[in-house]
Amino acid sequence: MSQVADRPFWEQISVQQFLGSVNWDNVAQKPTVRSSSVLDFDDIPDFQRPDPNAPLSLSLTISQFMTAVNWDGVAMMEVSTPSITTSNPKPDRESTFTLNDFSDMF
Amino acid sequence: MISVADLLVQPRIPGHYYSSQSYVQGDLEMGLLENRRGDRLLAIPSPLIEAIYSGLLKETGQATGLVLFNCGRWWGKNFYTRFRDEVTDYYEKPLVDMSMAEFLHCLKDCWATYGWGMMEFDQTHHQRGFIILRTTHSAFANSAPSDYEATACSLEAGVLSAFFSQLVGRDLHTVQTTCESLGGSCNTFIVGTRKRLEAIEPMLEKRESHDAIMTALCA
Repeated sequence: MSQVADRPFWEQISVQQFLGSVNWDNVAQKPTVRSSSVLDFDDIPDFQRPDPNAPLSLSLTISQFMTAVNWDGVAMMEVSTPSITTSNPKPDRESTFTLNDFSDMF
Repeated sequence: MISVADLLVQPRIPGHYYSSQSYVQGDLEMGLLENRRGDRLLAIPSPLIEAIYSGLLKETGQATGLVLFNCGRWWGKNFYTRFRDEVTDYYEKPLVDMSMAEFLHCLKDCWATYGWGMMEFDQTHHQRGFIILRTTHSAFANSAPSDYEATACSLEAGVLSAFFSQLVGRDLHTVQTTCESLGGSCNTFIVGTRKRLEAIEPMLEKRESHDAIMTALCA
């Protein structure tokens, strides 16, 4: 595996990716900086992405894909949003800090 | 997927292993059929499948589907072993490390070359714990008796059940919801855990629609 990792980037991509990236028609392209974040996003398996209902990527390995299937149908954890209350909140200690309290500090 | 480095270095670039043109070999004059590794293949004529159905119906009646399913389970275990060995040897990587795209390509080709029909893979309900498989041109559905009132691909359901159980490493079950023999456009199979699929057995007996069954399963 380390040998593969040591190879240049172009040697690690598929033929399709490589040939597809060749600028055959010599079309002027905007200068882009190849950021690692773009590559990283493509490498993130879909089951780790925010939308769990998104189709799983077929580029996953079988073990990753089959592990990502929710076989037991366990309900997805809902993120509980804090309820917004319209009633006046109970004044905490800081909001009741008076001038007398301030003077007592000295 | 073939990498550029492999293209330059590897002496052999693997193609479609289960391509029917290269997978099925043998000597027609001798009546021998072999796969590309030299393993013997057995061709089953349609009259034999028809005879299996009629014989089972006379001997076991309504249990015909169950008998065929259990036969399929046994067959599926051997099918998985053969599939895994062939694919691993040919592509030189463990089956579970193959990408899903490569795996599905192999499985669909294999299914077609073995004469079991065309297969589609649907992962729409993966988050609910189910995988849907659809097949067409099934020899078993085509050879079922006209008065066979249940879904006719129990043997294939058993094969898929054993295959995915071993692939996933869990005890998975497969049920069939539509069948070409009952006028359906395809044969639809749901792969999931046994406990969850057994809950909809009454719906299967009433032959409720695939959509209704999926709605109940995903409720």
